Amino acid sequence: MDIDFSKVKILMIEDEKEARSIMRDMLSSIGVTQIFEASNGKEGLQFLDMAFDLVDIILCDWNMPQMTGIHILKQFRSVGNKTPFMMVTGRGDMSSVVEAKSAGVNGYILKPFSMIQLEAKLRILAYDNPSFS
Amino acid sequence: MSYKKKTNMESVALEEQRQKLQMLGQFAGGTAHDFNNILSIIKGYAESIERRVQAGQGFQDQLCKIIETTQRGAGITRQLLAFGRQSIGLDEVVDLNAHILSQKHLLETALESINTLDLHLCDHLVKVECDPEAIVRILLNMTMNARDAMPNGGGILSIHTDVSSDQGQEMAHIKISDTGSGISPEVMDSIFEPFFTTKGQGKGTGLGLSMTFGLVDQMQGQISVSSEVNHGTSFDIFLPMTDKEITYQPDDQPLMTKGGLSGCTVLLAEDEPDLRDVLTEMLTSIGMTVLAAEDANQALVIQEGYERPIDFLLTDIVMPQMSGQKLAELFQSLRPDTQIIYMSGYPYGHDAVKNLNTDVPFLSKPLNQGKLQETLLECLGKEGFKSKH
Repeated sequence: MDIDFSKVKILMIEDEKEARSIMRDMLSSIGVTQIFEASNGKEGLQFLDMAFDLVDIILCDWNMPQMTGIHILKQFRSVGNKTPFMMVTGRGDMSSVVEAKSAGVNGYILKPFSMIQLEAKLRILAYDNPSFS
Repeated sequence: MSYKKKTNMESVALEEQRQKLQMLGQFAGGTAHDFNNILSIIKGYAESIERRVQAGQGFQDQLCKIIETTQRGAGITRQLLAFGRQSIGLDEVVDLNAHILSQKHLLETALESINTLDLHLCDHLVKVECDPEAIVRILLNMTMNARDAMPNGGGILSIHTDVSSDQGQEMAHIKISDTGSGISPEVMDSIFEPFFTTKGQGKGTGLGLSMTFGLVDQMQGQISVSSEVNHGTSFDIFLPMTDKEITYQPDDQPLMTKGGLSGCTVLLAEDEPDLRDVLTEMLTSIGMTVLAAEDANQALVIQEGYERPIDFLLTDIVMPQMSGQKLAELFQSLRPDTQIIYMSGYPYGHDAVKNLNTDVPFLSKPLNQGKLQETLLECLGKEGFKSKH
């Protein structure tokens, strides 16, 4: 059975409203219907603290004021949570990729990205999870 | 008509009928024997593989033997089909040397590894109008006869080509010589007769040389034989040459060397496990790194974890989770430099494989190693090796 994106619950952490709107449209077109949104790291972590089991995949911007994506990721992993985490960023240099991987990132997508690229990356993160079939 | 004469005529007809039945019996017995031998060999090696798998041992040699043996079976099938289809077309212009060279592996297999095949192909461009398959049948017949004449091994089968002239007509000359047991003078006159065989009851069909004679004759050629007992036999075949443009390219011409593709990486997406294994073996054997995926989503996962370039995505089109077309679209969004090649058991244009991007090469199953390599090389040629490293 192929991945059923309507069963995939995604938390999007992105400070720019326009970027959230574009990503929401893309996710909807892919078939994702359960999308939670947070406009900064604090909101995102609070949501995860209350309802981490409601989230299957986290899409998180790297460059945000106050708390960066790397900080969020490290804090999230420090409490033992293994939910797939995809970094959304314009940083394509090797040192940034290595830094994200060291912090425990599962996926990495470079801005600007297409809907097809986002779908491919989500399929990789959702692969082998029987609850999405 | 007197009763006596009628009886005589009936006797002649009955005798002819008896001879026909006798020939049919010999033919059926010979063919059955050859096929039984082949089946026994395949069965033996298959059982050996079963034991070796259970013991955790390798079985490459046994697999090679099975492949070689099926080629022998294919040779016999060719003979039978040819016998049923007596007339041949002369509608291809063939580079004889290239064609013979392309059959080297088949002939070596038929000859068996205990004997040696020597090819001495002349430097001239030797073009003949013929049915290329007929040439293969002739070479195969000669080779199998040579093998039977050199049962103890250590023998040599030489195939020479040259150009000669007969009353102003340029002729292609193929000389096929072995160092086997030779043909005794007593039977020399009968060797081209149908169903004549010296291979003993049930060991030969007696069709090989008679069919060779017929095929050469249909190509307006000539065949002659010379032999010395215990020293060997030579057949000289002469075929008229032509100035026309070559129209036939051999399938398995050895231009597909490891060089071009060796070191390239291919991601193979195929849901059928046996076919995936066969294709992996084919691609690995030419020096390619193969990343094998059982479905489209796994292909995406594998490429994500592979940090080096992937030169090709070879994908089945009809797969259970996601089609090869969809995979190709997703894959290229992540790796735009990767060359996509589609393959399918459905023919091009079938409903199951419609609306394909015509720029993407399409391979029909079952896949032939030569065609597969040719397609990969063509893609590399287009790309100018840009992603190979």
